[in-house]
Amino acid sequence: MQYFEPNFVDEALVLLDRFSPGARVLAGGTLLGPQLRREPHDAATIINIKRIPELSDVALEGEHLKIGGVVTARALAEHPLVRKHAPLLAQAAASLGARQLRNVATLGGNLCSGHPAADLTAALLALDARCLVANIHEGPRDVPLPDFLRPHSHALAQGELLTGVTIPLVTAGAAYVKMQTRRAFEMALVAVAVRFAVNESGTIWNARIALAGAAPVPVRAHRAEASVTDKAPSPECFKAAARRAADEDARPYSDHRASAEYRRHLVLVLTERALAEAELL
Amino acid sequence: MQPVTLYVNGDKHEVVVEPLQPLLGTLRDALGLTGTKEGCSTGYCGACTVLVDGRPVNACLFPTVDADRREVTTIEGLAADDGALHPVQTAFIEHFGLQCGFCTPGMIVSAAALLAENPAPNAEAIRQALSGNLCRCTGYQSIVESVLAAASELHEQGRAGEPPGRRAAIRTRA
Repeated sequence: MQYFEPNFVDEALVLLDRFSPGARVLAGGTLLGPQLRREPHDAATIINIKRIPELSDVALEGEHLKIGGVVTARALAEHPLVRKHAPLLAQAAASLGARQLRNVATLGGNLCSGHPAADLTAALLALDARCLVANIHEGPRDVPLPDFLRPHSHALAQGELLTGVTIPLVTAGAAYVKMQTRRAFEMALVAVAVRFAVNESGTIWNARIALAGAAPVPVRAHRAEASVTDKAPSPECFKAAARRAADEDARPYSDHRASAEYRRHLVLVLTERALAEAELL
Repeated sequence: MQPVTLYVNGDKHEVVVEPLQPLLGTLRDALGLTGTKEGCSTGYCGACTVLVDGRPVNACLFPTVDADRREVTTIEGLAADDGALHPVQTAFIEHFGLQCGFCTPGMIVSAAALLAENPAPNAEAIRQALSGNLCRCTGYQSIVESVLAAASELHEQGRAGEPPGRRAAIRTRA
């Protein structure tokens, strides 16, 4: 097995191009390590991208917050810029796993895992994040997050690297509500990320509702979003939206943690709760 | 194979590892530090918790290459050079914070990291901070009491907020 620690994105791209297929990118390693122990011959080359300084950056760029791909969950939860401009993401990051995992797990790993209950992914969906993808042949491109997600995978082509995300800065109330079998350190059964603003006429606009643990990958609840848009926030309005999220947007699955039926019920309860919580902010 | 320099409990070690060799195996098998336990090997149970630059990580997941030229603190590094136990260790003994003892090294290392960061945590903060360390014996209550007692003891000794473990005299990081 070959191993590289590139210091620049372009260097990583050259390595990826040269050694793909068979090259795997190492960020936090919390998913890759166990996976390669199960399938030890899946990777001939490991490219550790944590020595690339720009991938650890969090910065404001114009009207966007830009976050590098190897920023850890702990850094997201604590970084002043994330807490100020994307508190929803900081909240989701603080709820991810236990301290031991938050010190290591990265934003990029969460997005590339394609896990149905990925906390950071759900929050980023509600924040309209775009994925920054580096490509040695065609230059960088940015991809709307929903187009990047694949169940237990991602939309990167061979030789491409996820370098980070951008989040447009908007003023809005937001909430991240998560149901787990323990109050701390357990995968979400279902989590709901909500963001919306109320305009001068007192009606909801720019609503985003994202669901984790309710479909094969985290998804936007478009029908629930449409249901609250241009309505005055009220318990009835939130209840109706939650009903649409559960009945029309969710495509819940059964696994050892919960049945599909229970997950649908959680979408109903948690969406209503998240909308009410976001209204207070 | 990749050469790596580790500073473990203040001592410098040169090792050569496979790129994804977890730190746990390096500590236990290459360095003989078997105090850190292997539980689930998937990052759930916390039995393998060690500190890298003072922060708790699951050694079963943490690639050894990412510990290159960094400080690693294991349960063996908490006691003083003269063998005097760390106040967290003493408190676990005095307050029955363990039964079978398998989760204990990870539990104590996590607790020591918490107290360095938050010298006066309440019970809820302790439960949150230790949520990644599973114990099948105690029911956790005696562990929480042990950590509260350790916090008082560290305070009384004027060591509140002190980073746990021995540090390497020379430390370089590119």
